[in-house]
Amino acid sequence: MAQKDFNEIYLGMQDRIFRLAAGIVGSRADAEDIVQDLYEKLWRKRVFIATGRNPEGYILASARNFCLDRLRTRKKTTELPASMPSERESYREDEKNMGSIVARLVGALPEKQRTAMHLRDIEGLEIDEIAEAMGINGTAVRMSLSRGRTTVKEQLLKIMNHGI
Amino acid sequence: MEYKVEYIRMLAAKYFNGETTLAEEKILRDFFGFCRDVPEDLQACRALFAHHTATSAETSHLKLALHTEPSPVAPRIGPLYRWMIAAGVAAAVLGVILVQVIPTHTNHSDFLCYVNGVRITDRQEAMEYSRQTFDKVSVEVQRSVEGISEKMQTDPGMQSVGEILNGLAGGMDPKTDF
Repeated sequence: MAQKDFNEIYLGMQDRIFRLAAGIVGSRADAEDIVQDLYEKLWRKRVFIATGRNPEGYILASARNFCLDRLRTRKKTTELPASMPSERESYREDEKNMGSIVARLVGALPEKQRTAMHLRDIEGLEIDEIAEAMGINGTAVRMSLSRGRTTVKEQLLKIMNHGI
Repeated sequence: MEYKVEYIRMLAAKYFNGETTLAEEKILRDFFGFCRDVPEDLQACRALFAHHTATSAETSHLKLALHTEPSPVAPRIGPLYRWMIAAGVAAAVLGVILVQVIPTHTNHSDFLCYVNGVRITDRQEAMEYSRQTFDKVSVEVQRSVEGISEKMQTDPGMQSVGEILNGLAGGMDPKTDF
């Protein structure tokens, strides 16, 4: 693949890769490191990416796997601790910032549910594109979406009821 | 466009079952983004969509360090490679001709051969046929090599092949050596 073509594709996906990485590793700084490191890794394989059927899907799948490897290397679990702000005090503290509450609830989901929700609800990918990026089938994608969304909703309702 | 709350509730139920299409999710996103009086039972859904909208707007501040290697030079085909092709074709043609030119008598003063189904008894005539055939093959080989050189300058896949051949056979400029 010509240097220019690969750079154009990767640059066009930079923000998407960054958001996915941030959602998985939970750190903006780490996510930016991953964006650069992944570029270096994929540059060496640019010929194979060019001859593939779906370069964007390949890059997204690589980004996810790269993030998971980075988490394992740093001896972090892929699932963040389920620290729900269920107590009344912590709800009042975040009362004015429902966004941060939802972010923490989403961050506490298992990685598969978190990633499926991210690729669908944030990046707007089709089910088959998500399936390819995650290496699972479409039914598994829908199941992950359902479980993740329902868990967040139920936790939100608990929090909202506590605060009443 | 305004939507009835009952329709939104139906879509929300589909959403939490993981059954909505992207278009239906856009309807939900637009509703929760613009509606001021969201019913109490849909507040959790609104909070979730608000999170999605905010996260979608996040961008990387990283200035990606891109590779800036120079554009690859057009692959050079070594002289060895050109002569390998010519020698291989010549050997094949001569082999075909020699097989055809088989004496049918033990007496070496008699000469008989068949070239392309034509019976020839004159040795000189047989040699002339061989020479003409070899010339035709040489022209076609030349055209093929020129075509390959041209492709190697434009087709990325062929460029990779050219790089491999270049590594095997040394350098030759397709613009001046053909």
